Amino acid sequence: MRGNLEGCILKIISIKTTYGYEILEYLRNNGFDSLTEGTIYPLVLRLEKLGFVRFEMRASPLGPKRKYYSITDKGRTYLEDFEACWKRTNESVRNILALTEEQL
Amino acid sequence: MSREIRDELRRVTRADKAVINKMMSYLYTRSINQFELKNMQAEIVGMAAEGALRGEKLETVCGPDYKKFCDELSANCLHKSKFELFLEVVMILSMTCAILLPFIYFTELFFGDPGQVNGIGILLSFEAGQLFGMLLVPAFCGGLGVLFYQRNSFAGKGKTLLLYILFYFVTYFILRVLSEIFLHGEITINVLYTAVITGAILLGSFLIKRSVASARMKAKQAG
Repeated sequence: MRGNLEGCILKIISIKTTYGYEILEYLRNNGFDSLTEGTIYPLVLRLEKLGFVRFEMRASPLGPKRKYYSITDKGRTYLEDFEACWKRTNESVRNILALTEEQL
Repeated sequence: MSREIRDELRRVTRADKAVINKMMSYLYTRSINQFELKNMQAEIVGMAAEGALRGEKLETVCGPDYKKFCDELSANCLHKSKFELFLEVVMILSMTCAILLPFIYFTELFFGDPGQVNGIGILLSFEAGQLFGMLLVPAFCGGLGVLFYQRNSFAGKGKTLLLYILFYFVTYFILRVLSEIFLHGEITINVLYTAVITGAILLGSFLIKRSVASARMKAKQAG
């Protein structure tokens, strides 16, 4: 789950330079209802530590400065691997779930 | 604390400020690089401030278990190197000296008999003033230590407290021996030497630790 979430976060960041709460909103709107910023932030920090994302501080119209994340080349390579791996896993799981008694 | 963080803290509710204090105390015990810790503080305060604007509590934003959240943060950040930890110990020791030496000196001056203070042997004597000083100083500093420990009980368990008390008494006796040798119960040039050396060690360890931490943080940011 944790690895999948990291992949999803990276995908969102690859599409748009964005900040923590906005990432959370995208994830919540796409089925990850129970997530909090507390779950997202350590994962983004980990992606930052691994060199997959970089950040810059930008002023926010609402108040405090925000960390805006963008993807790095290393992150893009990781994302491509993640997507390929996910497609294979997805395909395998779908095949297994579609199995019937006769096929076994 | 930087001005920016202070400004943001104004937007945070009192309850959230209490949670932030707990988080920072908890993170402080995780041996995190001082600049990383400062960044984290800014991030947490920013999260709380944004949460407050949306009408959410920090516990809703970060999850109900702040320790779990902090553990996850700590797992992904830059920690102090062994050299930084060594410098921190030197800094704490010299700070202890800076606090205790004058305290011992003045306790002795007011409650002891400076004329008789001429060697280590006096440590074993039980003159009223000496005994009072020996009890007063540990009571004062030990009390502060226990208070700190209670406020930050996650920093360690019973064993840590015992170690702390042991460490304190050992430090106290070392300092006492040093004060007998250098101070002799009188304000002489030796007092100045002690003060200068303690101050130099304190300042030196602080500055070196700061520059090492800063260099490591810059190296991390540069990738």
